Amino acid sequence: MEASEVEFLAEQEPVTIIPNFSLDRIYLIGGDLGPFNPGLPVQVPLWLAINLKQRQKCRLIPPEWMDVEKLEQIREQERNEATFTPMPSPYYMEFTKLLLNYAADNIPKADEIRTLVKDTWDTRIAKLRLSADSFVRQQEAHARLDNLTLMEINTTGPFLTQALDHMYKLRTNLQPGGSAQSQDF
Amino acid sequence: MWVKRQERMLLEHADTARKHTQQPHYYDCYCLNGIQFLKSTPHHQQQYGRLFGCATTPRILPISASYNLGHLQGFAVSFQAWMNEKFSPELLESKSEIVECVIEQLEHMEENLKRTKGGDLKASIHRMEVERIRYVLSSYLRSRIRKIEKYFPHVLEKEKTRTEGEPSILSPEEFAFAKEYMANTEAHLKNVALKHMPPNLQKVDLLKIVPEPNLDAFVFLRVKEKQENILVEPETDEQSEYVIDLDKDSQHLIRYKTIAPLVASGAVKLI
Amino acid sequence: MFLTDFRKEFYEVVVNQRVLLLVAADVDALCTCKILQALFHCDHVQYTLVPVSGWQELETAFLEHKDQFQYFVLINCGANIDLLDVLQSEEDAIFFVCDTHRPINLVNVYNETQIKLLVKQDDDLEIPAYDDVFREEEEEEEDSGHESDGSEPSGKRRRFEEDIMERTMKRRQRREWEARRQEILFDYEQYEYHGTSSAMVMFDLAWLMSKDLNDMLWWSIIGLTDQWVQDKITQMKYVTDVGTLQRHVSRHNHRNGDEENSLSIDCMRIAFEYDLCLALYQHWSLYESLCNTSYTSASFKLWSVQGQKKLQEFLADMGLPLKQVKQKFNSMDISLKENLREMIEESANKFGMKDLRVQTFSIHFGFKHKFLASDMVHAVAALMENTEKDDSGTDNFIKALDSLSRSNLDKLHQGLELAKKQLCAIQQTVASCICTNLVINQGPFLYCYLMEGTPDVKLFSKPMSLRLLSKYLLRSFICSTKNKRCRLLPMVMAAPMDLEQGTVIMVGIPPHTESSDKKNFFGRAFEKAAENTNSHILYNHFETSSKYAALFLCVFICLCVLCRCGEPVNLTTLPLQR
Repeated sequence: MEASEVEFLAEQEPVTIIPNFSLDRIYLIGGDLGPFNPGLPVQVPLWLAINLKQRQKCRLIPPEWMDVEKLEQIREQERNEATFTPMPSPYYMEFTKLLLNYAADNIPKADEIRTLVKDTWDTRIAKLRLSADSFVRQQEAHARLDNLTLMEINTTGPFLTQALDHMYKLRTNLQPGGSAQSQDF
Repeated sequence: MWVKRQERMLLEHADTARKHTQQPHYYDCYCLNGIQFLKSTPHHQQQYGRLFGCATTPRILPISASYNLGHLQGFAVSFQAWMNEKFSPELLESKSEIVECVIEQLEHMEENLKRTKGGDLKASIHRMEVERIRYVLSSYLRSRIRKIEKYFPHVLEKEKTRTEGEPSILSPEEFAFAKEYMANTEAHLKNVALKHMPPNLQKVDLLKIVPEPNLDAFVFLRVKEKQENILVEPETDEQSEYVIDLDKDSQHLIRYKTIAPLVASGAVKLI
Repeated sequence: MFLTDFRKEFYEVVVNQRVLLLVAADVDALCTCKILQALFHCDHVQYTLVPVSGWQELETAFLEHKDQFQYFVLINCGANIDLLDVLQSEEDAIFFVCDTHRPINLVNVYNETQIKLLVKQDDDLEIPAYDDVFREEEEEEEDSGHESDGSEPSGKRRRFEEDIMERTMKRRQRREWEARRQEILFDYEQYEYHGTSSAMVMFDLAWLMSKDLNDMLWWSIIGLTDQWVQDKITQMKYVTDVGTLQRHVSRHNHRNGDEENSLSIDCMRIAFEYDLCLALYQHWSLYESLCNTSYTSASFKLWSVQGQKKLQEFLADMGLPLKQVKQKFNSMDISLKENLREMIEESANKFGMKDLRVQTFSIHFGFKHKFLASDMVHAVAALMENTEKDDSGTDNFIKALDSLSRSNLDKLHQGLELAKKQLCAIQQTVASCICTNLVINQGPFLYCYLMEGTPDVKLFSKPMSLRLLSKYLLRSFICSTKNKRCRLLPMVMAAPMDLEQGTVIMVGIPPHTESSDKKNFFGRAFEKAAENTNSHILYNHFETSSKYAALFLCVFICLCVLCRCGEPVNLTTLPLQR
């Protein structure tokens, strides 16, 4: 799955906006939204929030975890633990990227937030790489990866699964016989 | 106070929605710019139950302007079908009723959109959503077609040997497509190479030469319902097989073969 | 007619329609177009953008598209001609004209149905009253009616005489009215000048609708600076407009000082600066910038050896080592850069240059991108008139339009390089013209013709560059000549445009004085000259003071002959002095 598709999934998540227009309730196929009144907060999916922001029709409110102190805590926790700690949102990376790209003026201390999230991401990816390495080396058959978000899985996932497949084929082809095996390398 | 109670009820319903998918739900009727939609039939409602998951949600929410939580969960189910198909190495069961349902909803929406005047904010929001749903749908269908083209003899074989009660893995259109693809490939191979070969080499068994889907591929999954005693086969001869439990909401990396039936039943989802 | 409520009468009318945008090829129009495009994007308005560089293109574009659109928006073109007459449009076509050219054609002003003018009315427009210029055509019928009464019986003979008296009175009145009308029209239309920048007008509209962004504010600043760089508005007006924009700038950019809620470094910030008017100095070396800005080069007389020495003295006076000054500005020592502006201003005052600093704005985003408004104007203008590759005018227009977005910095840098080349070429041409005495005093005006073989002459086949060249040349010439009378003369400049067709492009600029009101009379003057000499002149540019002339007919042959024989030529009597 490509990163853009993961972002597509993340865009379904709800986020709060403050519109500057008024509209009564709209009934989308996926859910109801509104009614929209200027100055009153309303929850909408992220894709709609970004679109309205680009059309200057609303102001975005950052989610509560997007705060410098909280993110510092999370980063410290991640650095101290050997395993993965739970993240405040399963789509924290996509949220950060989209909100800081399109609505940086609505988010206080945007630069620090960007740095903190990137630090946390780097730590987690480093841990992921190490554990993938040991997984392959010890030829494990199963691994448990709670608390990993979809975006992180998708960075190394495809490579990892294909590598494991190749190794499996190499191993099993040492044994003769068997039904029509896959021949593509 | 009443608001909080309603919201709590909603959450409870969303949690137990899977068990109550028999209940009809969703819109009785639908308004867009004052143009009434059709009332959805019980058939639609049942299919929507499977597609959007959530069952009983009250139509009029109290004043809180919040994105309807039930539908949030519901949409996740439709995306789940898409993701399962994307990550599984073999062709999964065809969810053609859901596909039909979605197409019909999209068509209704498009017709209504044609009738509204351009430049309307509501219309543009609806249009964006239609595009998004259309993308998911076409991506789903495309990954299915890709797998059909890759594994066509095995797919057709499986379809031929399936027992009466089992659901089909191909929709009627896909079946026709697979058969035609097979016929075309055979004709092509014959015309290009086979008919020039000596007579005893002119037969070719597609089942043997086309690779099978690799069910031993590793996949990532997320558990929705707790499972116990899943067998994990060893990688090397030194290790022995062992048994694990899958806790709810945990994520794992494991071979596809052992958990294939769980994917089909919806107890786990691939990520 | 003039629109009062731009939002209701313009924006809300077009928001649900498809619109055709016809945009002239100058930087102010580009900025206006950008602002309007941003507004259209917010509201999903469908539009088609057609760049037009002259009347012919405007007519062609209109003919092509007139069946598909009902609403047309003209930016920086169309106000100074009778639009309906020239374009031959249908009854239901509506034109919104946002133009800085003045005087506005009176037909456009008094047309109530089809032509809507998006101009600010507090400019001194001096529009004559309706009755002074237009009159109903009833007189003929009355006269003929009276004549038929003439064959009545003699009992009405006295009335008959009275009728004759009445008729002659009426005719005389009519003649007087016509004469007065001619005078009024002549006064109204003789000088061409510019009004408030269209980009500022469009920004006001955005502000009215509360959709103004920092980006739009920056574009309107560029539009205003373009008017100042091209010498289209007076210093007074420029300062007034800068004040207006300064209020908007502080409104949008007040969060910069606040530590708590400071914006991300990637957000753009606009700041008011009282900066040097040296062209592109922050993207060049200080030395090159001093050599290539017309103000400094003319004051020092850099085409002569003494001038070069003076420049060295100037730099020595400030204590700037030559090596530092010839380096790229960004690599200069920080200690030197700190008080540079004040130092330069002090030294400049000693050398007689009083106006080296000017009020302007700068934009700042990311960690290294800082641009002054005048830098942007030069870059965008250079991109638009790029003659290096054989791109069509439309391609250059689109490239220049793109360079205004912050995400297209590579195009902007390309524009800066082109602008540097252009400025160097201008200075070299100016130096060679003065050294070889190519500027000829024709009596009522100064005249210069660039021969085909002149280096970089291809650059000057475009109107904006040629105008810039002639302004710099005039300024330098005034500084170089001892003849006091020359300082009050206007200038006509000609350069070859298309060698195959043998056409020449001409510009005329008014005399260079401190307090000039920037009114240009050459439009009318050229027309009259063309009539009297039967030369084929193509009025293509929206600025009536620049024209194409095809085939070296009378005007040019005379003048060319003059270059060789020195005989005076009796040009038509033109009201050349104000």
